[in-house]
Amino acid sequence: MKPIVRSYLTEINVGTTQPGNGTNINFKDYPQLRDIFITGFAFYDVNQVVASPSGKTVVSTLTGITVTLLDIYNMEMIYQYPAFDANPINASGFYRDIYPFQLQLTKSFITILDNTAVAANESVIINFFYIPIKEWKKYAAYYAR
Amino acid sequence: MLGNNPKSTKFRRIFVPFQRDNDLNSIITGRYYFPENPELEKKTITGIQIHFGGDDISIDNATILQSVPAFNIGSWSGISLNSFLTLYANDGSEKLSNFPVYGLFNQIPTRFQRIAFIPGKINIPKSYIFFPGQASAVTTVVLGYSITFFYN
Repeated sequence: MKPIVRSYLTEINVGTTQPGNGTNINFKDYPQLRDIFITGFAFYDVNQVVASPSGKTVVSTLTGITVTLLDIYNMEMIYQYPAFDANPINASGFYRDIYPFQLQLTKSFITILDNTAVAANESVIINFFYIPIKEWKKYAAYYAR
Repeated sequence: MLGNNPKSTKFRRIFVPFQRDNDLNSIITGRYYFPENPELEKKTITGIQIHFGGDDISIDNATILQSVPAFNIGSWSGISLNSFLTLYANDGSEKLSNFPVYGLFNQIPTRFQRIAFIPGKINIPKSYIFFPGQASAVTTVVLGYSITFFYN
């Protein structure tokens, strides 16, 4: 687990009706998360965060949810990664490190494979760890192959 | 030091008090900005840690710091589960944006470790703790967070 340069908590609200199995839900556009290298991410459920910053109830469990992250070339760099595994509480407090790539958040999405644990109007919250492109040179040595 | 946190030689703790509603049962929704601390703003921060704290004279702060930070015990959990930390860098940009406070308690048994971020200077009075919804404060002790900054 690399030290955190910057972090930003994002939220995906599932909407006013319970999503069906297999539903993909895209991330919204967060200006802070444009032109960045993603270095890691973490999911949380209601056992760590009760309400999202916008006041929505957080999903009770991450079982049945996966995440797909695309880079700026539309490559699926992280494909259907189980959200449960990205919860620090399931990994001794560590968030998931990834080799940095330029994230394209608005084409990235979560998939509700099993909607049992997801109720209407609940939110999935995902914390992104990132480095802005303009600061990348300062920290690139941390990620030298 | 836990994990791969950069080493630090000093620390300084600041206290962020919360405002409670009239019946003292919950913390009022909103942002609680950090008090100014010009000395800390000059330092290169390497890590951060949060404890519960209060000014209840029946329990001294040392006792609180030692015995209470273990997470998820009784009435304390409602507060930390409902709060987020936003830290601003000295250049005005957000360093941590709505980071769940849950991960910043050091004594959560076997689960969480102190998080760290790349050393940098923090804009203290611009940073804040955010409660998006009312958090239960049924204990008379929790009146705020003691936030410890590690620096060199």
